[in-house]
Amino acid sequence: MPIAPIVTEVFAPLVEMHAKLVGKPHLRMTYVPHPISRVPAATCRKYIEGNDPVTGRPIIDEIAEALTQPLSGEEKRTGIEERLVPRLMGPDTEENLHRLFFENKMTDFLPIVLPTEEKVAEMLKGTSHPPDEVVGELRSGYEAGSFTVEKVAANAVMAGAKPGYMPVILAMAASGVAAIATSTQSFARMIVINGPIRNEIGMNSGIGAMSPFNQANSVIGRAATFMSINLGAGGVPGLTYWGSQGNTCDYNHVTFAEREEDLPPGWKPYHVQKGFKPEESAVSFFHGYSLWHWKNTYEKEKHKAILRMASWNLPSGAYQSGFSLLLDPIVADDLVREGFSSKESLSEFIHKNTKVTLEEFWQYHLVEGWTLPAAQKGIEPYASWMKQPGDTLINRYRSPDEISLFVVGGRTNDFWQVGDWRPMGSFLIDEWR
Amino acid sequence: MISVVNPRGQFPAVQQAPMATRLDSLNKKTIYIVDVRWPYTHQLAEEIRNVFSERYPDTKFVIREKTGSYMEDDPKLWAEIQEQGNGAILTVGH
Repeated sequence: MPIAPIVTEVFAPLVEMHAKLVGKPHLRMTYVPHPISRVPAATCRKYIEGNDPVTGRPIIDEIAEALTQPLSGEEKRTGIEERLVPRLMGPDTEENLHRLFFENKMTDFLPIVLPTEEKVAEMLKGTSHPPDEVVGELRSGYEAGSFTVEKVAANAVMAGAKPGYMPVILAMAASGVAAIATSTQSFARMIVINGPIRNEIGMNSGIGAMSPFNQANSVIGRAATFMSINLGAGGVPGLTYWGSQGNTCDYNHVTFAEREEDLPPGWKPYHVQKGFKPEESAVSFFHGYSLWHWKNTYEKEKHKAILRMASWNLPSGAYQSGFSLLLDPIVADDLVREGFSSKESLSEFIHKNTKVTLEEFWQYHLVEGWTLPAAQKGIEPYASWMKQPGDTLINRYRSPDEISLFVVGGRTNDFWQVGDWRPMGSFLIDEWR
Repeated sequence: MISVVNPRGQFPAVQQAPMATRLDSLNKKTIYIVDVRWPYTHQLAEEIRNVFSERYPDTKFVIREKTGSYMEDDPKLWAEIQEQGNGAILTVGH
C-alpha cells in the first residue's frame, strides 16, 4: 500500500540514512517545519499549504505525488547490499590514521591510542576468550552491530585501557546496553562496578572516585563510549545522536566502583543486592539524566533531607525514571544511626513516604508522552488511575527496587549526591576473565 | 606506515525492498491519516485532513490515532488500513 510519511525538517538526514537501512532509499518523504508539537492548528495549516523546507516544493503536491506518481526503476529495485567491514585500516602514517579516526567520528575527540595489531594482541591477554569469538550485538544508533572479542579489544586500546580491564569492558559489551542512545532527550548512563575486580584493576572508590583521577575509572567509561560509537553505530550528532543539549555524563558515564570495604554492617554491596555473590564481580548500568547534591536541603537528619530530594524527582510511573543515592561512607554511617540498618530499609522508607497526587502525576511531560497512551491502551495500573480522583495519592516510585543506593567516597565530608538513575541490569564480569 | 584493527562492528546486509505500487489517482479513494501520537501534534493530522478534503473532495480522508506511545507498533490499525484503505499519510513528531 502506498504511504506518504511526513517528518519535521530537522530529521531529514536521519530519515535519509534510515531509509537506506530498511532498503527503501527512495522513500517519498515530505518535510514540514520543526517543531510541530504544541504548534497551533492555524500554523500547521500554513505549513501544509506552504513549501517543504527541505525540497522547496509545495507540500500538498509532494504528499499527493507520494501516493500517486508511478514508481521509477530505482524505486522498484531489489537485491542485497553487503556491508563488509575490513579487519584492518591502513597501512598509513600514524598522523593520517589519527585524522581518519577523527574525520570518521570514531572517537570522543580527545586523543586516542591507535589500535595496532600489536597493542590489540596485548589487550587480548586480559581475557581467556579467543579474538574471533562473537560477543554479541550492540545498538546505539539505528541498527545493531555484531562484534568479536578482538573488536572490543580495539576499542579498549583506543580508550587507553590496560589488559586487566578487559573482563569489565567485555561484560559491558556483552550486556547489549549501549552507553549512548539516540534520543532527543539527552539522557545518559551511570556505570557501577562491584566485586573483587575493583581492587584488582585499581579502581578508585574513595577520595575523588567520580573525578578524573584514576585510569580504570576514566578509561572503562570511555571504552563504553567508543563501543557505542563503533560497535553500535551511534554517537554522531544530527545523524545517530539527537540529544538536543547532550549530556556531560556521556564523557565517561559516571563510572565508579562502590566502596564495599566501607559499607556499614548490614549494608550489602549493590551487586549482592542483585543476587550476585560477594566474591563475584559485576557491572551495573543505570539510565538517567543528572546528579544533584545535598546543598539544596536544610534538614539536619540525613534521611529527611534525602526524602526531600526524592520528592522532587520524576515519578517512576513515567517512562524510564528511578532514583539513586550516592552516599559518602560518613553519610551511610549517619543513616545507620538514624535507624536504617540496611540499604533496603532506606529504599523502602523512601518508597513509602514519597507520594504524589494523580493530578500532579498526569501533568508530567513524560507521563503525557508515555504513560497516558499506556493508560488509554488499558495497561494497569495506569488505566485504573485515570478513573480515580485527582487528589488520590500514589507512590512516586513504583517499587523500592527503583531506588538504588551506593556508598562511594573518601570520608572527607558528609556529602552525598542523588540522581534520577534507574537500574537497567547487572552483568557478571567473571565469565569474561 | 602502520595498520590498525578496525574498531567498527559488523552490520547486516541491506535487503533492497521495492516500494508499493502507487494509486492511479486519489479520486474515490480512502486515505488514512495516521497520527503516531507524538505529544501535542494531533493538530497537524487534522489540518492535513482539512486541507486535503478541500483540495480532493472526491477522496475520503480518515484520521486515526495509533494506540500506545509513538514508539509502539499497532498491527491492528495497519490491518484495518490494509483492508479498508487505499493509501496512508503518516505524521511523525516532533
